[in-house]
Amino acid sequence: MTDYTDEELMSFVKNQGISAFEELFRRYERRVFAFFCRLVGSAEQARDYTQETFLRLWKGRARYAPKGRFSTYLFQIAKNHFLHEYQKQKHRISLELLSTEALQKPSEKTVPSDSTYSQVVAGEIRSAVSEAVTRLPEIHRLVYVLSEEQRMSYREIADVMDCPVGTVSSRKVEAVRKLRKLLEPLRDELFGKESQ
Amino acid sequence: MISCDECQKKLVAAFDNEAGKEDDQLISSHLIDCCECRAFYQDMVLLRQQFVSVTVPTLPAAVGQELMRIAQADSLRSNPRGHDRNSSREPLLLRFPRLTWASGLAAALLVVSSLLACYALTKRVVDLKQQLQTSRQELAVVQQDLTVARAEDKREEARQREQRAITALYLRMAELEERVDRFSSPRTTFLPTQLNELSSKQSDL
Repeated sequence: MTDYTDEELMSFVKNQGISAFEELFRRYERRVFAFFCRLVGSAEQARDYTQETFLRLWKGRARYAPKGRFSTYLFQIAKNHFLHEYQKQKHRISLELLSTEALQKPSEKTVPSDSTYSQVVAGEIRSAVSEAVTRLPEIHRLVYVLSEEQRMSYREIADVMDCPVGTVSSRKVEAVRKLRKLLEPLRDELFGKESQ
Repeated sequence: MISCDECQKKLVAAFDNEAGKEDDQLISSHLIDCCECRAFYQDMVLLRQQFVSVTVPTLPAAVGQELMRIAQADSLRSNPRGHDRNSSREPLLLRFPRLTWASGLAAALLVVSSLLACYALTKRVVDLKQQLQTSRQELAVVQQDLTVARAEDKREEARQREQRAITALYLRMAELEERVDRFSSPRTTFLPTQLNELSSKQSDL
């Protein structure tokens, strides 16, 4: 394990440092992959997006200028790639149900066949929430995932999205409101009106 | 009193730890009277719980391997002189992470062995100094003995000279006494040649 910062490693990458690039990939692969899994709802698509993001990082290494944090720079690349692909596939995006079976690790047990009703219900709620996030408009989706999944501050999200902090706050509120609206039928079906 | 729109904005910011302490009072006082905003807050909490509870799978190792292969090929293309991994300007420990513990262990062994060598050398030097000191002391004793012996030799020589002088004096005195006796006796006066003849006759007899 090296003690170099991300920015130092990236400076080595600029000088054809394969080992530094490998170290950066090792540090961020899981975060970027999780980011795309939440965004697109498909592990296979997220895998392609992740690989493309790091390839873009490698190919654009000469243009890297250490102005801010490396994570912001990396997620800017990821965001741009996502938006680029989204525009290309805007009319061809098929919303897959994000089942718990598809997202669980292979080593983990899936819900057993004789599971209780509450476990099935819990799985359906998680599925529904994940699917609802993938149905958000891309800008709100990006802000929500960066905030909830990546636990980025509004300042960091603003740097990634290249917008003011106030805009990030507004988009986050809109995302929550839209999610509530998308999940309204589920709440009425499973919980009735108790939560109101 | 703030509106529901403002309250929900502040609620989201507070939930993300982005709001100031001054908003807490405003939010609290609004939530007391507004069930819609209370429902909004509860749904927001539920959404986060459900969203983060979904387990994300791990990226297959093949993705990383393919990525490195592409990067390596691209690096070779951009540097036709045959740039390889080992000739980059990356620090050695970055290219060979396992060297970290190995080099640390080697450094520790080197330090320990150096300390042991220094201790052994220091001890040897101390021993040699002690031996030198002992030898110097012995030399001083021998020199002292030699001085004493030489002094005794001189004294002995002086005594022998004195003894010889005394002996010579005694002989001289005897000779003088004999002369005194000879010249003081009136009856017998012999000439030396007559004395010699007399003594030879006596010896023939």
